Amino acid sequence: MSQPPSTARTGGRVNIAFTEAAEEAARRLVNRFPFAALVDTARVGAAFALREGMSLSRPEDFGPANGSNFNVGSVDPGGDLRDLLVALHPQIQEDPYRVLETLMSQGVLAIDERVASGEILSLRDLMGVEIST
Amino acid sequence: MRLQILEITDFGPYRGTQRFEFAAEPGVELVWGSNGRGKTSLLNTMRWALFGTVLGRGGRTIPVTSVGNREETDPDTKPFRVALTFTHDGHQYRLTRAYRNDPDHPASTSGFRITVSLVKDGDALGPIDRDRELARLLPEQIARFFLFDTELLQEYEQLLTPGSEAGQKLKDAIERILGLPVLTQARDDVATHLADARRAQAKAAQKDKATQALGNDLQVASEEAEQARRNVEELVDLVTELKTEADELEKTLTSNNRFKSQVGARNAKRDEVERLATRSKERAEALAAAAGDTWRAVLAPLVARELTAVDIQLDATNQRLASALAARQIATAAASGVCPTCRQTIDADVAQELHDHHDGTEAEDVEQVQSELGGLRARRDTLRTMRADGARIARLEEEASQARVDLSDAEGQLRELQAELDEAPPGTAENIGAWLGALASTNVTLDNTRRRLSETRNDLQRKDQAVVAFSEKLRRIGTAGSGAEDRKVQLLVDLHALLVAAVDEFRDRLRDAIEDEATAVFRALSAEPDYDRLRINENYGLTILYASGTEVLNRSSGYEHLVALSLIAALQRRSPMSGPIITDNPFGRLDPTHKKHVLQALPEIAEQVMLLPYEDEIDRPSAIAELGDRFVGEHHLRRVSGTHTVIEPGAYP
Amino acid sequence: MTEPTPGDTPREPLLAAAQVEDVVARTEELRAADFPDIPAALLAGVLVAERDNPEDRAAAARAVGRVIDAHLAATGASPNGKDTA
Repeated sequence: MSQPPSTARTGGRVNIAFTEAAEEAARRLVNRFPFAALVDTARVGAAFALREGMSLSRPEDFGPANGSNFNVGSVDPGGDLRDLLVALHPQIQEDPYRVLETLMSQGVLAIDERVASGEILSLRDLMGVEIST
Repeated sequence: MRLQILEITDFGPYRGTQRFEFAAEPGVELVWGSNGRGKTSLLNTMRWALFGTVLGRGGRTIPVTSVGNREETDPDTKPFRVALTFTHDGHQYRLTRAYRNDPDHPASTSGFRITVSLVKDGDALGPIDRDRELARLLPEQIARFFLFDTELLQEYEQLLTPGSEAGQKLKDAIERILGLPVLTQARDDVATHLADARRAQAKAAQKDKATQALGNDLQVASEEAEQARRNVEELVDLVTELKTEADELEKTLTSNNRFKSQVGARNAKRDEVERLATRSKERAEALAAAAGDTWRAVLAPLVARELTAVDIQLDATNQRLASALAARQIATAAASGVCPTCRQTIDADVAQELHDHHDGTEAEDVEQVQSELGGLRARRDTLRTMRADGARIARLEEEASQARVDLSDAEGQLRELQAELDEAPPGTAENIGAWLGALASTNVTLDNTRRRLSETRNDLQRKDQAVVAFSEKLRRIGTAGSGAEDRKVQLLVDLHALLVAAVDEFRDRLRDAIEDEATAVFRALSAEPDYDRLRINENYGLTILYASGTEVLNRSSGYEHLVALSLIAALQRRSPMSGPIITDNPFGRLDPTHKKHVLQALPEIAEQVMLLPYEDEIDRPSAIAELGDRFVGEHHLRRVSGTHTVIEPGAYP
Repeated sequence: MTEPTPGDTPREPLLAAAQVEDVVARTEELRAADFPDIPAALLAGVLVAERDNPEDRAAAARAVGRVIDAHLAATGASPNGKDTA
């Protein structure tokens, strides 16, 4: 059961979205991998960006995040992702969901690139799980 | 029959006209030829001359249009001709059969026609006499016992299978050679004439008042017997028809057996595909359900690193807190002169020491550090809740992938099986059901008809007996009117009885004779001391027996060959009919010892023997030594080109 | 190796002399033994008629009929019901 997200440092952000380019990439990922919905790619994209240490600040050429809207409650049901972001980067000043909005687009584009180059072919590759013998 | 001269014109690889003289003395002559050189064609020249057929591999007929000699690249039909000169029963024959280019003749197809001529003792026979003479000389069905291809030897195994159609034909052929049909047909023809004679007898008796009533009775009885005979004939024909129908259905079903098993395979594969599809779906669903947590697993390494870092920081911060707390205690003690822990007064000089010890740095604010600690702990707790089982997701992903591959493979195999099935004529699957049904009902009808036939035969027997009774009565009374008819009837009754007795006696006796003769020959040919004798079954099939009387099972193909030779030898030696034995690859399946035995025995089996071995099949010097004075001639087949062979005298140079 | 001269080694025959089974001859023996009233010539004639027509059943039947009628005519009775003295 999802709890209403804590409003501390949220700035009241209710909806987040991909950029146009990121949404296209996210659709490709949803087709290719067994994700149930586009929102899963948002989470995975954000996670990937975080893991890869991508910048939390929105770059100049980011462009408008005017893809289809996700309610933050559907992207981050328990607030786990936001809490984790804060736990990892306690120093951020801006609305964590704005940061996540940046990360999810950046992450998804990065994954898409690596799928195209053949570096990531499966969820196993994505997760970086070692094949144990 | 003894062959004298063979004249071949453009037959198979024999280009131009080539003349081959058979050896004149009794004995064995050899014609050497490597495989593909024309040995089978040489056999075929004789088949063609005698029967107008040309055989290829596996006994299949070769069309006459492809027999004529030609260059490799020439597809056209070519003419050819064979003339065979031979003696038989003291007469001299010349048989010529030609395939001629004769476009204007009304009987020609595609410009060619077949002509046959037979000259007997210098006189050309007219077509009717010619055909009758040829039928008498060497009927095609028994040619296999003289002119044979060792490949056809497997036909002999048919003789062991009761009820096989080929076995029945072979049996008829063997009885033909032994002269049995002459007896059985004489018996049947005499029976027909006897029935006619009884009718005539009845008619004559009716004319005389004294015997009129009896005559009438006889006539009625004769008519009833005739009717019963016709019924029997009808039923016999019906049984034959039904049997043929059943055989055809069985043949069709057998040839469709492959189809049936293909259907079975396709259905099994279909079930497998269904199963795999379900499994693939399940695996995909399990994966989809677990994939939602992928993001957690993606973060897992990061979380792990962070946890470690946070733990280290926590340790450090805890230490700082301890220091800060201690500093505060000291400061309080220094300022108040009382130890805050044990509430004891502190001496002034101790207080001074504590004050000096204080290194001057600002003590950290305890609350601040505690707050930091709290923050770190909160971070740690959050990080710890990020449980993820990436290994499980990876495993499910692999299982789903494998299931897809398995499904795809099976679907591919199903498509192949379906394509094979689709090659069958449309409606085959439905037809098989229909054929099985038809076969079952035909067999039921066949059984019923056989029963009816048996009953009708009994009926015929009773009616014949009635006729005989009246006929005898009439004869005993003896009238002026039917004297001649009575004599005829009596004569035919006796003749018929004689022939019936002869058939019964000779059928068994012939089989025994053949069995004895075949055993004698077999013993001369075989080198296996444990093989004691041959036993013959009703169809003239031969089994090898040990001395104890048990059957030798699974005999080798070499021994198959020897048993067949034994049967041929027995037929040649015991029947009044005899002819040349001409065979190619005569030793193919035999080891040296058996080859030696065969070479020794052959001249005693037939007066004219021609063998067509390939060069390494037998050792020439030892073969000639074995044959001794029975070695009467030698030729070889020389290759001029791939489509041109020449028969030359002597061994290979 | 020198060619062996044919005729060097006379040899014992492998197989005993075979007795040809002639059903015609055997049937004649049966006739003589058990059916002496049937004339030998009649039997021979019938069997030859069959032997000469192996493929044509109708022709064989006719030939047999002719043999029988010829025999009856020659031995004093016509087949048509008239007794000749």
